[in-house]
Amino acid sequence: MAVNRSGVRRDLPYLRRRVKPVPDVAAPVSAPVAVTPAAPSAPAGVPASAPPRGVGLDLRPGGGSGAGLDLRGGGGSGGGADLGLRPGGGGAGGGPGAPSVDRAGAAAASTRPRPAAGPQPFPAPAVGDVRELDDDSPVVRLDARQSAIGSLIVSGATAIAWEASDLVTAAATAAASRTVTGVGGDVTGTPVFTSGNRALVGFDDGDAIVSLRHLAQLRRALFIGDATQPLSVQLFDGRGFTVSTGDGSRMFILTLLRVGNLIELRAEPVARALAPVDIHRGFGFELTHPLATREPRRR
Amino acid sequence: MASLIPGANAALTAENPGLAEVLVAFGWEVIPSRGPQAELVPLAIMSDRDDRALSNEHLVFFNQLESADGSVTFANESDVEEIDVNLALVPAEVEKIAFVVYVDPDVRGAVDFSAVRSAYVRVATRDGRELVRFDVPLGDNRSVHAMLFGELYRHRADWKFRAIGQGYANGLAGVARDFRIEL
Repeated sequence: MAVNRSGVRRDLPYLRRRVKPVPDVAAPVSAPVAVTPAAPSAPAGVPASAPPRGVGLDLRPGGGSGAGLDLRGGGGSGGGADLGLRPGGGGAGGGPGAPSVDRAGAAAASTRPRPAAGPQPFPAPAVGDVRELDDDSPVVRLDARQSAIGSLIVSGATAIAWEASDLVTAAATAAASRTVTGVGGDVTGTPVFTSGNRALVGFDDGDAIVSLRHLAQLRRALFIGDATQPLSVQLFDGRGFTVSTGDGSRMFILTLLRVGNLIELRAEPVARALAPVDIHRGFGFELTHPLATREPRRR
Repeated sequence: MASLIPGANAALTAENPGLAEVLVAFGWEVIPSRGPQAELVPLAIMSDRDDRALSNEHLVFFNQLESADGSVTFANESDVEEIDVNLALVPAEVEKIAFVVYVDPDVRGAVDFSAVRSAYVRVATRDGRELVRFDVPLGDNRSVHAMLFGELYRHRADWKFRAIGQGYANGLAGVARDFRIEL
């Protein structure tokens, strides 16, 4: 069904769809991908007669005359770009018998479809770009290697909370002595352990530690300091940064959010008087109760 | 099926005409422990004729699942871990694909190969037919934190696999220095 761009509904004042300007996407779509023209008479790209606002994804069974992508099973007769998504169509380079060792032309000749690039995150500073997170520079994004190797160490944290990918949630406060939970602090909620017998997030020698090998198990985390000393973050490669302590009324806490395979770390201002439990609640952490398990009695 | 010793190589495409894709599979056992356990991570590095990685994006491991050109992809199937290589898609400037296995450098310990046994790397066709296997000799590896298991490399118009088994006492830092990558 074609997208209706005609108007804005007035009966839903709280729900507004903004009509974004439509860029001319026909040219970039047809150029870099292994594209075959849908119709012999029409070159890939926009026909001269194509309407300027008709460039969109056309999923109509009967086809259309726009210049959009054509995903129909039998191809199309319009000016759309055929991406070779038809069953049985497409690449031949990966199959048995394909010429594999023709060095000069192998890579170029292969027609295996390239993976579609996912949505790219908005630009954000990298670790080396920022020395301290604060109001002016609140966020840092780690790259795929930094997000996955070794441990993320947060020094100065006195309370932490985390939410696993399966929404299991827990919190811990730094304790003077190691507890039997293995998380290294006083834990409320359900701790999460990795296959390497380590806490996914926990305290070790006074530092909060995230096991990056198991990043996929983690959804988000909070690191709260006592506001007298800055939180400092250290990565596997030794690089790191600090988090501002704030001012008289506010302090900064550090939030970790996994976005796909990347970690984003953000300084969030909160009222200095708030207790960790209030901060957890404010950030939507609802601690899950651990499931009590017992070995079956053997007769 | 051929079994290799360190330093030996095997011709893959010359002996298997039409071989377009291979899977490079890794396996190992870790002696169980109640405490932290070593966690091994395979890493493929696509490098040029000077053993320099083409870029930081030319690494493939569990958190960077595919090279930019789509020729090397991380899989996780029957072996402990697997990496698929589409030889036909490997860019011409890639001379070598090195397969490193490192122990994740978690600050809470167990970061060397001392508890690792029965490590191997094998190369097979996409349908699982094993072409070559290398059982990595593991002696006293308390000081080894990463190991180059083997490499696929070009030889004229063909691809070969070389068994290596070289340990890195300086772990990923040494790997990064050798291949000139940022880790």
